[in-house]
Amino acid sequence: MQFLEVPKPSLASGIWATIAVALMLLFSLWIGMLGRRRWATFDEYMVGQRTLGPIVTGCAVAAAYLSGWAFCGSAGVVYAVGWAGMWFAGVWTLVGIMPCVWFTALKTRELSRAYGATTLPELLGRRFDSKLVQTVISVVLLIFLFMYSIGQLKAAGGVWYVATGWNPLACLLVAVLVTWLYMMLGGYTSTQWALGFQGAVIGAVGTILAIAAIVKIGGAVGLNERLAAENPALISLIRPDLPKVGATQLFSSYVGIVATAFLFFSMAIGFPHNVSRFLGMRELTKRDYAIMCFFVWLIAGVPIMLDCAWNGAVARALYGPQLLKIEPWKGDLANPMLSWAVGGIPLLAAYTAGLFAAALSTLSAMVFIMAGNVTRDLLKLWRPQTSDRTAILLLRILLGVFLFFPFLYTFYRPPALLAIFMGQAAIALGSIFLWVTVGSYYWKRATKWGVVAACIYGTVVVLWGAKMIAAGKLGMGTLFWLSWIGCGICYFVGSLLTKPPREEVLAKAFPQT
Amino acid sequence: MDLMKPFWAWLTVVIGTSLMSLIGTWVVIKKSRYLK
Repeated sequence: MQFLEVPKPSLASGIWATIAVALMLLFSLWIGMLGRRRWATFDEYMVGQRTLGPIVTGCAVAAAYLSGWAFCGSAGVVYAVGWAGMWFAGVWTLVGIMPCVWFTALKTRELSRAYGATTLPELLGRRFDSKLVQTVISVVLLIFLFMYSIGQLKAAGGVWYVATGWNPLACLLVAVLVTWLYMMLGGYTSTQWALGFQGAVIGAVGTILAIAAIVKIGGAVGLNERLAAENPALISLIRPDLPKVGATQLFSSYVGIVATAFLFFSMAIGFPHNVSRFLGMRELTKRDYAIMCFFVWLIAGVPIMLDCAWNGAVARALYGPQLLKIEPWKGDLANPMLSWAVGGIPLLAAYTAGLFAAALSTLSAMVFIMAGNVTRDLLKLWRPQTSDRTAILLLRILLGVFLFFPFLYTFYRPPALLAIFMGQAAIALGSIFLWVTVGSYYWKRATKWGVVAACIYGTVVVLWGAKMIAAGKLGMGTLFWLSWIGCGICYFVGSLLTKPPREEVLAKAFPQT
Repeated sequence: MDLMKPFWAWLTVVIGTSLMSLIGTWVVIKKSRYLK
């Protein structure tokens, strides 16, 4: 079979990519800086004035949810294994993000206002009238968000190198510094506005790339004819020929494939950086709510549902297996090379900017939570006499520290096990916080011991499972079920065996009774 | 070999989950007491 030759970076591709990324960063900075004078106290720095509207909130939720992996790695999975990869690559995106909006948006806003909370751990801590709950949740979030954040810039650095041929050090450093600048100056409001803009970029670029790819390949018939000619397994919906342990279980067995749908469902709701987007939302009308849901569907649904199956498969049809031989990027080159093939250098440049937007948006949303965990949920909780000024200063420093770690990771690669931990962090956050957040919002009988038991079980089983997966003794789908079901059992059994909080505390969360 | 099978599976999920999004949003708007 004849495949396209893999393009090489040129001066023109370098200049175009630089301009596109610079424009994206400049707009993020400009929009972020608009929020710098919108706070006066530590509480306002943490959550704004709770006046953000449905469009910016919807775009911000989508941007926080769509990481560098969703915009790059997912296409790589389909590129490597064919259509069967779509189950893990994001075809279930709406199964996750829409329930996140339905079950958490309005409740998060109302409960955070009722309890005067500015972070998710603080909200849950006050819901259970327990410093222990706030502390345990903060520590669990710190562990898994740190793992998950570490690889966020890796894809952006890789694509930058592919597009320009230049070392990504300077570009990533500038991106991190710009992000730190607007987050540090404007706090939550600036972060949310920049996220909203980045979400719009991701949605636009993702949709254009996917449609251009479908047109280029001649639709489903043209695509599948080429894939089947190379290897009929590429058009199978399940790949039983692949190992049933490790990550490939998610498309080689029904245990894994069914797990993908539940993983997306629990992950989107469980990601605190998604749920926290609703903390600063204003009171919505029915029309506002419909608008917010539409924007979430438009950005986190349309491009990802297209991208999850088509982009990787079209890249495979165009380039064959050539990209798998290019170290260290391999399948991650599917989307950038696809954009180059279907839209030339301008689309490659737009894609590079879109990937930076996806990576920086998820990273900044997570970093703000981690810095808040340390200052609000640990320092202010256990040392309430700490002044607002000191807390804000510490938070600003921590924003820089947590932003800088992923930057370092991109250049000094830590052991492979850490990369495997990253993937499992999503399982942990989903398994634990689906129960701990949504369960606690809607189930009055929940207790702090149920929450603590779910947090401890989820943390231990996922850290153990990551090692087992790395050793080739466990499938990723099996680990998900162990974690998800086990956390649910711990949460419900732990709650039913212990006493719920006082009625006056519960009355704020369940005002009708 | 049915070349179109993966495409139909994909399209079913896309249409199904989009319909789910529409219906779920409508239900929340109808039922929620937090919306003005």
